[in-house]
This record gives sequence, structure tokens and C-alpha cells, in this order.
Amino acid sequence: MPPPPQLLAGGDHHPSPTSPSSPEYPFFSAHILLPSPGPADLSSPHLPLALAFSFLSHPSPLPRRLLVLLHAAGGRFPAFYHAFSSALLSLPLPLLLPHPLTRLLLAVSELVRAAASGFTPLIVSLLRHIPFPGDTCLLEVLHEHSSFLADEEPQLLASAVFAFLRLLAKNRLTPASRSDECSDCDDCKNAKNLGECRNKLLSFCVSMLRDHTQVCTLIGRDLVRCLHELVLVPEFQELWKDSMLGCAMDICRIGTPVWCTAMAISPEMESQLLFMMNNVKWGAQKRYQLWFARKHLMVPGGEERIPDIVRFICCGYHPTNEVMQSGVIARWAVIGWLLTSCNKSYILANAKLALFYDWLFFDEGEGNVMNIEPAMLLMVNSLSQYTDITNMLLEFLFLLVENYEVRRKGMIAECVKNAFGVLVKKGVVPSLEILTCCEKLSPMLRQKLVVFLSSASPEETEITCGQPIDEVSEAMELKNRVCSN
Amino acid sequence: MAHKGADAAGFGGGGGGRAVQLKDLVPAATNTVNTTFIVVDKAARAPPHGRGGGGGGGREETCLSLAADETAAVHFLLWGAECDAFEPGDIVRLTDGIFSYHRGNSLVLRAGRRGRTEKVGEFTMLFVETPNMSELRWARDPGDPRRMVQEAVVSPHSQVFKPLQ
Repeated sequence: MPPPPQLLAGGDHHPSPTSPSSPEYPFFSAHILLPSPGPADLSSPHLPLALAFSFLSHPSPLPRRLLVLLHAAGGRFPAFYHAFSSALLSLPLPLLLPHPLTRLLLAVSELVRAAASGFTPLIVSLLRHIPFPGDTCLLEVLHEHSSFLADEEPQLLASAVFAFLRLLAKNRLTPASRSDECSDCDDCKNAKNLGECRNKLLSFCVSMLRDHTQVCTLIGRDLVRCLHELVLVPEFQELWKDSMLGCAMDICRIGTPVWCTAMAISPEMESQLLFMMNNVKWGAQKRYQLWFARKHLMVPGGEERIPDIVRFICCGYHPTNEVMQSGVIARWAVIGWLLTSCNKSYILANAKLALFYDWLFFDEGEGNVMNIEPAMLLMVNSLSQYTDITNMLLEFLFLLVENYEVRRKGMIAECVKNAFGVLVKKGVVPSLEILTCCEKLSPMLRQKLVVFLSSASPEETEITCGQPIDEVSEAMELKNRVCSN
Repeated sequence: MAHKGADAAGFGGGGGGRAVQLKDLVPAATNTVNTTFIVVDKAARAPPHGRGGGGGGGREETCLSLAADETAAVHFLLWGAECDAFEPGDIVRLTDGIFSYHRGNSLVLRAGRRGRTEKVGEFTMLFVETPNMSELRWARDPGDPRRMVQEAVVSPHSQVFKPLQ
């Protein structure tokens, strides 16, 4: 008997499909039992895996009988579609060979078309891996069924909008592929693929934002962060003028949900970051950071992901007290390392914005202190040895207060002040004197901070923020006296 | 389900050894080491060596790597296609490997002709760089000359791959 077709890229040094440690093994085993699944096998417990195997591996064209069987089983047994989707989800996408990947996308479109239950995790997983060859198919399926998804799976549709907006932002900023030098490597193919589907991407995002605005607001304030990065794209400029301008600030008041920050990073990145922040002790992180950088950051488009990684760490992962006290590397330290990994200045700026984004709209009642904690701890813990980092961050924070949204400067200043206040109240730092009385900090920034914190009303905050330094020195002197007492 | 049984036997079988931790490695001229480690670092390739020199006659290039688990580290010698197959951060399962002196005096773990290496994961494994089993001096056990025992620590960590920081 010839060996069964392979689903995953492998080689001599990957477990073979016949080894239980291979993700292909359950498929292979089911295939041995049901080599040619048919209507007689409808109630077989092996059908989901066996059919999935046939579906992914059968040479083109796909026999119609497999499609009929899929929907017959799905129609007869409500749990079948779910089991079929779960089977597909169990395959590691980055290793999937081109033919099975094409078939997987076909399967997704069949599942969505049939309004089958259980396809959401599968689509989420695909979205978290874009760009990949053929991702346009996914975009088309989602676009075609967007009204159905808006009603039935709004979170999924919002996730898709966010994932594709992030892709657009990265795509816009990444230089076009150098096709003279190479035309075969995956990165160049992806880049070409991206260029080709750019219009489809734009049309999907713009029409979702127009037609399903409410669904898109599920993304929360990161929707606005994302759209700001795309403000130079003409299609988005129109969108801003027509509809977003009025509601942007309202959307900014909505905290970004955890599921959303995870959308912009791959599951592999997530599991490696979580491993670092849950298991790797202080002092042992260097090797892991090197591996992570080599795999995810030092690849085309990799550095562009740093702001999204920062967002994920701030909003997507909140360690328990037990973890925080276990001596593992802290979130702020991982972010500090990521900031030093930014070589391009616009990426560093976006990463700092990502770090402070929840400060700008912080609401004591609604906001989560864990979202703003990493920035504060990074500033405070860098004071003694890496004062330039503290200076850089504090300076950037003031820059944001003054310039991020000039018409709402007062509101933003108030939110940032609230953020400082809550960080003290919740015990993240014992007091702000750790910054205001730190000799190492730039005197100018220190003065500014003192005045900023002591200004009473939003109007006053607004004024002091823009004031030249010598006018605020009086308040600084007062504060110094308080500190020295 | 014949395959499940076959693989289980393959992992535990072969040389007949069960899975060991790196701290329990003892130099021996037998292909019996079954273990799982993470590749911590990789050195530059060494060209094929031995008679013929130019790579003919089945001589293959090698590459020294630092492998480690939660108990110890060791120098692992990648051989031929293994040099490309594994990168730092890869979690590797070794079946029927050998821990012995290679080319005179360097003590390395390797798959050898009968062993097998498989990438079974990435990144998510803790490890230590001390002790390094390749940086110990071993001597014959006076009570049982077939066995080797640890005599002295040459270096607490790899002298080829220095710890970071």
C-alpha cells in the first residue's frame, strides 16, 4: 500500500504521521479505518477525522461526494460540523502544505455557507496567521457572509476587521517585495499576494466599518489606534470625514477586550510570550528573548508587530498575584526589551503609543489598572540604571497629552492624571515621589510632572501642559520643599 | 491501532533504555540514550573530516550545539542534515543516542548511526546551563570498571557556549 498523502511539512527530523506525537496521527489512524468514507459511515465516530483527511488530501478536483457527505453528516448530527472544525483546527497552520491549506480554506467556506456551528475558532486561528498564501479566500468568504456574521457572530466579524486592518497597516508600511532578487521565497510571495489583495482588503474593511459600525466598535479603542495608522490611505480619510470623526472619542472610551488584542499576534507568539511571563525566571530570559526575536521580529514585517505585542501584554495578559510573586520575568521588563528591539523610529513611536494608550482614556470606574501598570513599572524600575528610558517614556507621555487629540486635550490630561492616581491608590507604586523627587530624572520633565499632577481642573491641566518651563518652576520649588520634608 | 504500539515500543525500546534526564548521563559506548532537550545555541559548522577530507565517502559536516533540560546541559553534536533541521529554541527528542568521547577528548551527546532525532516542539521548555555534562572529568568506577563516575568539574558551564549576561 502506498504511504498516505502528507498534510504537514516535515522531513526526517519531524515525527512521521504514523507516530502518535505527530498532529497528523489521529487523521492518519481514522483514514486507515475509513479509507474512503461514504454514506454508510455517517454514524462512525471516525468520520470527522477521516472525512477531514480525505477533504484535505484528495487530489484536485475535490469529488462532489465528499461535499455531499460533509453536509449529510452535518445535517444528520448537530455535533458533526463541530467535530469536523475541531479536527481541522488541531493541525498546526504554519506547517500545513499548500494543497491541504487550499482545501482547508474551501472547508471553511463550506462551513460558513452552511451556517454550521463551531467554525468560529477555526476562522479565528486562520485570522491570527495572516498573511499566508491564499488568505484572500478567507477575506472573500467573510465579505460574502458579512451580514450573517454581523447578526450571528459579531465578535468574529469584529475580529476579522481588526486582523485585516492590522494587516493593512503593516502592509502600507512594509516596502514592496524586491522581485528582482527573488520571486520564490514565501515572504516575497506573501508580499505579492498582499499587493494583489490590497484592494479587496480595503473594500472589506471600509464597507464593514460603514455598514456594521456597531459590530466594529466591539474592538474598542484599538479600532481608533488602528485607523490613525491608516489615516493617509485615501479611502480611510473619507471614512474619517463621513462617520468616524464624530464617534472616535466615544469608541476610545471603550476598553479593548482581551480577545481582540490576541487577534493581532499569532498563537505561536502568544504561547511563547506567555511561557516567558509565566515560567522563565529573572536572569534566565536572555536566550528566550533571542529565540523569540529571531523567529518573530527579525523577519520581514516582524518589527512592525511590536506595537501589537505591547498591546497584547498590556491588555491581553494579566498575571495573578501568585505568578507576579514567583520570580518570573515581569510584563514591564518584556516590554522594555521590546522597545529596545525597535530599530525604526515610527515603530518605536507606535510601540510607546501602544504602551500608554489606555492611560489616555483611563476611567477610574471602568479602566483596569493592569492595563496601565506595565508603563508605570517600566518607568519606575528603569530610573536607577536606565534613566534614559524613563525620560523617553515620560517625555512621550506629555507629548501625547498635548498632541494626541488637541481638541480633547483637557479630557486626556484628566484621564492621565487619573491613571497616575489609581496606580498609587492600588499600590502599584507607593507614591509618585518616586518620580517627582528622583534626582536622576530630567529636571524639566520632573517640573512638568509636578505641575501636571498638582493642577486642579482639566482647564488648568491643559494650560500647564503647554506652558514653558520657567513658569512652572514655582510650583516645582513648592513640591521640592514638600518632598524634602 | 498498530501504530500506537509500535511507536511506544520505539521510544522505550531500541537500545532498551528509558527516558533519562541530562544530569543522569554517563559516558558509555552504547546507543541507549533516550531523552528530550532544548537546543540552546549552535556553533558554526565544521566541514566534513576524516579520510578523503573533501566530503566524499559518506563523511558529513557536523555542528556543535548546546543542549539542555531542567537538570543539566550537554554538548550535542549535530550531524549531516541535523545541522539544518534544528535551530536554537527547538525542542528535540533523541532516541537511541550515545554519550561518549568523540574524536579523542571531546565528550558529546549525539544520535550516532543508530539513533534518531525529532523536533517535537519549540521554546516552551525550561533549562539550566549548569552543570554541563560535557565539562566534567570522568573516571572508571574502581568498584565496577565498566562504569564511569564523575571525577571533577572542568567548568561549571560550557566553555564553548558561554552563558549570556
